Amino acid sequence: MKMKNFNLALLLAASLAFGACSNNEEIKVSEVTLGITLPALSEGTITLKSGTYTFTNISNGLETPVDYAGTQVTLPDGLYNVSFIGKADLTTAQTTEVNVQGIQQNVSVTGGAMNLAITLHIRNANEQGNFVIAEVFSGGTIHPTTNKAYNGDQYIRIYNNSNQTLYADSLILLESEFVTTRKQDYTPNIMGEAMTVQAIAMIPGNGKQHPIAPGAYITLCDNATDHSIENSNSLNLSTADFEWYTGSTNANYPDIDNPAVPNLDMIYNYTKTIWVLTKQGNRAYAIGRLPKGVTPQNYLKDYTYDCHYTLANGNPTKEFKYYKFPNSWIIDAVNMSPKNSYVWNVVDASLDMGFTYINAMNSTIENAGKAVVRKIAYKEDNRDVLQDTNNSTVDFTPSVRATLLPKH
Amino acid sequence: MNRFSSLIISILLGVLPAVAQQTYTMTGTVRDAETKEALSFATIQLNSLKKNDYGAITAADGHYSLIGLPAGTYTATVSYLGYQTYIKEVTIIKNTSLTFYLTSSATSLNEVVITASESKGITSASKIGLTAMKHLQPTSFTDLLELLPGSKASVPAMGAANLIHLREAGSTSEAISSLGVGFVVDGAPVNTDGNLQYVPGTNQFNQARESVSRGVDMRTLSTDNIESVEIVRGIPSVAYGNLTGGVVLINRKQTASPLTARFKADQYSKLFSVGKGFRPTDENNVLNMDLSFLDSKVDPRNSLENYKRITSSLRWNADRMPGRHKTMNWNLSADYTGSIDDTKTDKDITLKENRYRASYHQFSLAGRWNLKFSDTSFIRALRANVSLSQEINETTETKSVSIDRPMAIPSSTESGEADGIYLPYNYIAKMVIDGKPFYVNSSFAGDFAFRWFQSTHRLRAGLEWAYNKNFGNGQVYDVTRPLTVASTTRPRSYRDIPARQTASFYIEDQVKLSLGKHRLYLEAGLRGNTLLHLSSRFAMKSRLYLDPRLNLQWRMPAFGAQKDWFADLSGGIGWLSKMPTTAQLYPDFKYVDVVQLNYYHNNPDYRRINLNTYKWDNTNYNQEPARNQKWEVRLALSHRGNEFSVTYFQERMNNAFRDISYYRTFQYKKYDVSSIDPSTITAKPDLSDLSYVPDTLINTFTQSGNGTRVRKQGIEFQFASQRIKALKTKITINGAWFRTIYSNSVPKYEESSIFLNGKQLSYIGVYDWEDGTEKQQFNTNVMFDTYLERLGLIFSTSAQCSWFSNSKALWNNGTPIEYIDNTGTVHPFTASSAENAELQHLITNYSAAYFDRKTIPFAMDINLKATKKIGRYMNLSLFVNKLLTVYPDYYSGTQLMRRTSSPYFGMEANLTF
Repeated sequence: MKMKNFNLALLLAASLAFGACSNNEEIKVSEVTLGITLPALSEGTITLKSGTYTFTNISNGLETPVDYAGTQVTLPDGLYNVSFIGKADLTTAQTTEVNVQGIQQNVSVTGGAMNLAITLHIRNANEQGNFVIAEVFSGGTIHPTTNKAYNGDQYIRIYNNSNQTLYADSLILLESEFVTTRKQDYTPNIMGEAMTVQAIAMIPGNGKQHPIAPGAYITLCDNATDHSIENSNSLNLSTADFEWYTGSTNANYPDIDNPAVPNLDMIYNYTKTIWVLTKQGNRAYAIGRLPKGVTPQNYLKDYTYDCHYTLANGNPTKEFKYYKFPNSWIIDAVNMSPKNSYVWNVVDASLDMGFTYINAMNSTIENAGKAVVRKIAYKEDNRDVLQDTNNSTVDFTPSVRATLLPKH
Repeated sequence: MNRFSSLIISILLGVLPAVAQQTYTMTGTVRDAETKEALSFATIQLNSLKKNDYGAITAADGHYSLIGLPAGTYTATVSYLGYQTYIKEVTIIKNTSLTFYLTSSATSLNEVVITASESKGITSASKIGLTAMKHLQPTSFTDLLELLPGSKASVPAMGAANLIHLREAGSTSEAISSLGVGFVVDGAPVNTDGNLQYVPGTNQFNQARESVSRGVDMRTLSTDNIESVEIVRGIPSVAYGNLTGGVVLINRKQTASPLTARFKADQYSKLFSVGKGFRPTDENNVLNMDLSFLDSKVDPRNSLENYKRITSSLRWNADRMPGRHKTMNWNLSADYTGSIDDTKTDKDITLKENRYRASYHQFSLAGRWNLKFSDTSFIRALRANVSLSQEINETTETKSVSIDRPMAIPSSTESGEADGIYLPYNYIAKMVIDGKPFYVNSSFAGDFAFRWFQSTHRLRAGLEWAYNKNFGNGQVYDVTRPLTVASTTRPRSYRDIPARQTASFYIEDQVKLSLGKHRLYLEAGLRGNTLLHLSSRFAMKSRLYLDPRLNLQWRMPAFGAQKDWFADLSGGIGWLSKMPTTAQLYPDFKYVDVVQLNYYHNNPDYRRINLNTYKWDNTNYNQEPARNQKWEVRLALSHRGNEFSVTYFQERMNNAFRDISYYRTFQYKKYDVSSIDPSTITAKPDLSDLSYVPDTLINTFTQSGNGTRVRKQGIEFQFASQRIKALKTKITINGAWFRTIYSNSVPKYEESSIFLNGKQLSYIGVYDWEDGTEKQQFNTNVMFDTYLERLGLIFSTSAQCSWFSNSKALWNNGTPIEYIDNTGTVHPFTASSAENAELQHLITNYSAAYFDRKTIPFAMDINLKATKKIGRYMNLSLFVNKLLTVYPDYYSGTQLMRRTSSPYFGMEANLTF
C-alpha cells in the first residue's frame, strides 16, 4: 500500500508542477533605434529628403509605418521585415532628386532595445532602360480531361524597355536555386554578391542575330507547340521566339523539340530530363549576361558555389554544389512567392527589394492560368515604358491571367 | 587420482549394474516451479548416511540420471544458480523417476515476474514469461522488445512493417539488421526468404509496409498464444542457422488451461482474443485452440488507413510411453494468420480513389516428433520436425495517374530499337503483386550422451532442409498503364523463379566438467549451410559455408561468509551466416529505354517516339552469404535472490547485403528532326529518312550484393532485486550502451543528374570512402513493481531514460579516386580533374561541422502499468506509456531543440473461466 500511495503522490506532485508552468505571459515590447546607411558614391554627396520605414510583422502581417525622421519605434517582440522607400538629393555637378530604397528581412525584434540600420540603394539613377522581365507565366494550365496541372506551356516574356534596339543574343534567363517560402542559413552567404541559380539558359546568337525593337517582346517557352489542340485551356506557343529543350533520353520524361523554333542554349540545369518553371511560384527569375571574356565554359568552371545550411535538427547538410551568377551581371530580377507563405527574398535587395505572387496560396491548381505581369509606368512616343523600380511588389501586377492565353 | 578412480568405478558400476549388489536408477527432470521450464546444468546430489555420495548434472533438456544407487535412504539436494536449494528425503528401493521443481530466488516471495529475466544459460538471452506479457499488454510481438536491455517502450507503428533490431544504437534502413535475426516458433524456423511482395515504383509510405528481404514483420505475430519467449542476443547454438544476429525462440502454450478471453483497446487498436487448452481424452493429450483479432488504425484520426490481423491456431500435444525407458512426444499444429494493410485516399476530397492494399494469408501445418531414450543409453533423444506453409499474398495498388505533358512508355520487353507508346493524359493504373510462396522446413536431429574422463558430453547433431518456391503470378499489370510513369519494370511471373533450397547440418558437443566445486560448461558446435540446385553461374554453387561457434561458462563455487554468493563467468565466439533471399538471388530484369527520337506533331497520327531498349539480367552471381562474427563475455552474480549480470559484446561483418552500384554504357542514335517540315508531313517520320548522331550514355545501377560493413559493440546489464518484503516491491534495472557502425565496404559508383553546357554529364565517379554513420546510445530502464497479493494488484512504474544518443558521419573527402567516361575508360581523378568544369561535379564537399558528433541529451519517459484482479474471473489492466516525460531543451549547434511527446495508453480485460 505504501508504494501505491507513494506513486500517487508522485503523480500529484508532477501534475502540480505542470500546472505551475502555464502562467500567462505579458506581451513584451522592444525599442528599436533606427538608422540609415546611405549608398556609397564614387563622387558627389547624397542627402535624404523624405521616406517611410515599414515594419511588417511576419507572423501576423501587421504593418507599422515610421517616418524617416523618426529615430526610435517601440514594437511588440517578433520577427519583422523592414523596408524603407524615400527620396534623396544627389549632388554631383548639380543636384537631382533620386529615389532610394532599402530592405532588411527577418529582423528579430527582441530583448527590450536594439539598433537597426538599413542600407539604401539608389534606383533609376541614369538608367537608359534595358531588357526587363515583363511577364512570368509559370503557373501552367489545367488539362480539361485530367483536371490536373498541364505542363509544357509555361513561358517568360522579356521586354525591351529602352528607346533603342537591343540585341537579345546571349541574354541569359536564370532561375533561382533557393525558394522564397523556406529560408535556410546558406553558408557562406553570398546573396550580396551573386544570385544562386539552378538553371542558366542563354539565347543563342553571334551578338547581332536577334535585334529587338524598343517596346518589343521576346517569348521564351517550354514547348513551342500549339498546346490548345491538346488542351483547350492552353495556348498556341508555336510562334514563340525561343524554347528550352534538354533532349532528354529518359523515355518517361521525353522532351519535345519544335525544329521551327530555336532552342535556348542550356548552359546549366539541375535536371537532365525536363525543366519546368516553378508551379508553386516560389522562386526568383532573372535575366543577365555573361561579361565579355567569360565564356560559358569558363563560367561553368569558375562560378560554382558550395554551401550548406543547418537542418531543423541542428545538423549541417553536406555542401551543395550550385552555380552563382554575380549580381553585377544581372539586368533584372523578380522574386515570386505565394503571398501567404512568403518568407524571404532569394536575390539581393539591390536587384529586387520586394516580391510578387501568382496567388495567395501555394496551390498549383489555383495558380493555373495565372501570371505576374509588369505594370506600364507611362507611354513615351507611343511606346509603353514598364515600371522598373527594382521592387516587384509595386512594379508587377500579381495574380493576373497570362497575357498570351486566349481571353475568357 | 582418487576421484578419478571412483569415477571409473562408478562408470563401471553403471555399465555393469549387477556386480556386487543390487543397484537402482533414479531419473527425472529439474524444472522451474513457475514456468515449468526445464533447467539445464542443475546439480543433484544424493547423500546417504553411509557417506556414499552420488551426483549428477542435468542436461540441456533438464534431464538427469543417477545410476548404481544401492537401496537406501538419501538426502537429495538439488541446487541451481538463482534458485532456492531444494532438499528432500528420498528412499530408493526400486528404479525411481522423480521430477524436482525449483523456485527461483527472485520470485520466491511472490512468483510474479513482470520483466524479462536474464537467462542463466551459456549465452546472453532474455526470457519473457506469461505474467510479464500480460502485464505489458502487447498488441503484437513488437511490444515485447521493450523488455530487452537498452530498449524503450514505443508507440505502435501499424502503418509500417515492424522489424526487429537487436543490440543496435539508433535506427537503420540496412536490411541485414532485421533480416539477420531468426524467429523460431515451437521449434520450426519462420522462413520469410521467399517474400516477393513489393510494388516496384510505389511511394515511400507503401514501401515501409513491405518487408521483402527484411525478415519477419512482427505485426503478424500475435502474443496471445505464447507461453514464453527467449530472445538470444548472444551466440545461439548451431542448431539455429540462416541468421547473423540473434534468434527469437517462441514457445506457444501446449498445456491444458482454462478458457481465457482478452479484450484490449488503446488509441490505435482494438484486440480480441480467446483461447483454451483442454484434454479431450486423457492426461497425455492436450488440445490448444485460440483465435485473435486485431483492428488497428495507423493514425486514430484517419479511418482510411488501417491494419487488421486474424490469427488462429490448433495445436495437439501428445505424450506416449512406447517402451519402458522411452517417452515420445507428438506435436501437431495447424495455423492461419491473415493480415490486411489497407490505405486509400478520401474520395470526397480528391475526386479519385487511390488505394494500396496488401493482404497476407498464411496457412501452415507443423509436426514435431520427439523420442526420448533412457538416461543411461548413448542415444538420448531423436527429433524430427516438419513444417509446411503456404502463403497467399496479394498486394494491389490502384492509382489514378494524370500526366502533365506528353509522356511515353516503351512497348517492347526485349532489347532493341522499337517505337514507344504515348500515354493518355488520364488513366487508372492497377498493379497486382500476386505472391504464393510455399515453404517447407524439415529437420532431423539426435542427442547422444557419453562420458569421457571427468567430463560428461552431450552431442547434438542435426540435418535441415528448407525449400521455398513462389507459385504466384507475380507482378501483373497492363504495361501501357504503368503505376508511375517513371517505372522501368515489366510484368514478371514468380512461377518462373527457381525454387530456393538450403541444406544444413550441425553438430554440437555440450560438455560438463566438474573441477572440485567449480563447474565448466562448454558448448562447441559447427554448422554447415549450402544452397542447393543453384545455377552454375553462381559463385555459391556447391559451396559449403561453415559456421563454428563456441560458448564457455565457468560456474564458481558459492562464496561469502554465508556461502550465499554465486558467480559465473561466460564467454563465447561464433560465426553466423545468412544466405541471400529469393529476391536477392533472382531480381527483376533491368530495363533502360533510351529515347532516340521524339517527334510530337500536333496531329496524333504523325507522332513518333523511338526507343532503344536495353534489357539485362541484374543478378549478382558473385553474391555470398552475409557472415557475422560475434563474441561476448558475461559475468553473472546472484545473492539471495538478487541477480546481476553484465555483458560486453562485439560484432563484425564486412559483407552484409546492400544494393551495390555498378555502371554500364548505352549507345543510341540521336535523330535530327530539323529536316521534317511539319506542315507537309503526311505520315509518321520514317527513321531511314532522318540523319542521326551516335551518342553514348553512361549510367549507374544497383544490384543486390555484399557491400555493407557492420560493427557493433556494447555493454548490457541487468539487476533484478528480490521482492522487498516490506514494500512488496521488486526493483529491476537494466540498460545498455551500444555503438553501431553501418557503412559500405565496397567502392561506390555515382552519376550526376545535372545538365551542363547542352549535354548530360558523361562521367561516373568511383568513390572508395566509407559512406556511413557511427551511432551510440546509452539507455536505462528502472522499474519498480509492486505486487499486493491481498488486493490482487500489480502496479509498476518504469523510468526509461535515454542518457544520450549520438551519431557521427564517417569522415570522407568526397573526392572520387577514379572517373569513368562514356567509352568505359577508367581515368584516375587528379588535382586537375577537380578543376575541370564537368568533372568538378563529381566531388562532394563537406563543411568541417558535417563530421561532428551530434548528440541528443537526456530524455526520460515514465510509464505506468497496473493489473487488478476483479472478482473471480476478471483481470483488468491499464497502461499509460509516457505519462510523464522529461525532455529538456538543448542546443544542436546554434539551434534550440524542443522535444515533445504524447502519451500512449490503453486498457484491457482478461477473463479466465
